[in-house]
Amino acid sequence: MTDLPENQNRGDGEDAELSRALRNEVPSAGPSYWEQIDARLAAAAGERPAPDSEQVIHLDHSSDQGDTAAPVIRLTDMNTTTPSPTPTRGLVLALAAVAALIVGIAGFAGFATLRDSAPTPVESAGTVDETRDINDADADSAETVEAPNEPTEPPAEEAGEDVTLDYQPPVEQRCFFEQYLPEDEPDPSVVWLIEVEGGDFRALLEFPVADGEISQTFDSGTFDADGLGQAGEGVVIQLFDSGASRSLDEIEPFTATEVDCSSIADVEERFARLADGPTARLLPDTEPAG
Amino acid sequence: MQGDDSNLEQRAQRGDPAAFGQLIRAWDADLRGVAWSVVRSPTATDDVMQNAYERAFRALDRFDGRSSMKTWLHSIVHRTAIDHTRYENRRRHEDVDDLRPLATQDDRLNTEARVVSATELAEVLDSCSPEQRSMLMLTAGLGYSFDETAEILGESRGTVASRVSRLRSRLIRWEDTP
Repeated sequence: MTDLPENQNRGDGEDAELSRALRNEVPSAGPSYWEQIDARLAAAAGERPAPDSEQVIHLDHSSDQGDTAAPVIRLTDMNTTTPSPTPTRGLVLALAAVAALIVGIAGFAGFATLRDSAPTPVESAGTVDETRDINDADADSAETVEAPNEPTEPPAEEAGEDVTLDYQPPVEQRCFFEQYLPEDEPDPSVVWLIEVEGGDFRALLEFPVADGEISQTFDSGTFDADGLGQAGEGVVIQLFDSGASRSLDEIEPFTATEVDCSSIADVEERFARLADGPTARLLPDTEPAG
Repeated sequence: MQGDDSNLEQRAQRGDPAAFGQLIRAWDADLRGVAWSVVRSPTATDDVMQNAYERAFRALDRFDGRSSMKTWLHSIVHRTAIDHTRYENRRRHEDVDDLRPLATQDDRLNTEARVVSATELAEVLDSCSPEQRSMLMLTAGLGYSFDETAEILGESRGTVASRVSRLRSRLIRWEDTP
C-alpha cells in the first residue's frame, strides 16, 4: 500500500478508509443554508438578461422584414443601460423640428439671440457632469480615465474632456466591478469582483486609486479562459488602502465605478508585465522537481 | 438519472433557478468537501458554497460543456474557496512575503513526514496548503481521477499525482498504524 497506482480511478476500494475519514471531516450545512442559496438564486434569476434566442429572433425579424416598427433589441449585458427605442427618438426629433420652425418664425434677430445664448457642447457636458449620478458608469468614465497611457481612450480629435461621457469600451474589454465590503466589520480594504469577457491572466496587479496613490498588490489568482476560470468567471481582487488611515467613508465614493471599464486594457498590460516580475513568486512553477 | 441531470442542466442554463437548485442539492455533499478542504471552517464553508453557487448560476450561460457541469462547479467552488482564503489572509494583514510558494510547502511536508495517529488526521491536513488538501479530497475523498482533479484545479496531471502521492505517503502510514 505504499506504492501508488499511476492513476486513481473512481470506486477504488483501496482507499475506502481514507475516503471515509476525509468525507466525515466535512461539516454539514447550517440551518438556513439552502434558504439563503435559494433566495440568492432567485434574485440572480431576476437579474438575468433575456435568453439569447429571443434576442436573435427579434434581430432577424427586424433585418429580414425591414420592419421599422418592430422594437430594436440590442444585444447587451445586464450592466449596460438599455437604449431608448427608436420610436421615442423619432418623437424627440419631430418635436425638435417643430421647435426649430417656431424659432425660425421668430425672426433673424431673435434667432441670433438664441444662438448666442445656446450652450456649447462642452458646457452642456459640464452641466451633466456636475449633476451626474455617482453610479452612472458613462458619467464616471469622464473623470476616472486618468491613466496617462490609456490605450483605449477615444481619439483626440473628439477632444473635449467630456467626450468620454459617451465612450464605451469594446465588448471584449468590458468588465464589471462589484464591490464587497464586510457588512458588520468595516475594513479599509476593498474587494472587487472583476469579470472579464475573455482573458488569460496570471499575475498580481497594482492599481492606481483615485487620489493618485498606488495601492498594494492584488492577488488575482489565475484567470484562464481554458481552465477552471472560464471566460466571464470572476476574479477577486483586493484594493488596499495604502495609507491605512483612510476611513471607509473616504474610500466608498470611489469604489462603485471609479475604475473605468476602459482601463481593463491597462489591467491586462499590467498583468502581462508583472507575470515575470517579483510577484511571480506567488505563482510558482507548481510542478515539483522529480 | 443521467437523462434527468441533462434535462435539469439545460433548464438551469436557461436561467431556471429551481433546476439549478436541484442539481446542486444532488452534488452539494461532494462540492462542500472541496470548499471545506480549502477553508477548514464550517461557517466559511457555507459562505463559500453560497457565493460559489450564485457565481456559477450567473455564469451558466457561459458554461461551454467542455467538461461536465459537476466538474465545472467543482472548479468554481474551489476558486471561490481560494479567493475566500486569500481575502481572509489579507484581512489579517498577512504579508505577501508570507505566502510561500507551494513547492516550499511540499518540501516542508517531506521533511516533516512522520507516522501519525488517527487523531492527528486533522492536524496533518491543517499543515497542508489549501491546494494540497483539495487535491487529496478530490482524489482520495471523492474518488476523482488525477486527470479530473487536474482539470478541476487547473493544474497539470503530474503536479496532482506527485502531491497526492506525498500526502498519501503520510496518511498511509497513519492507516498502517494500529
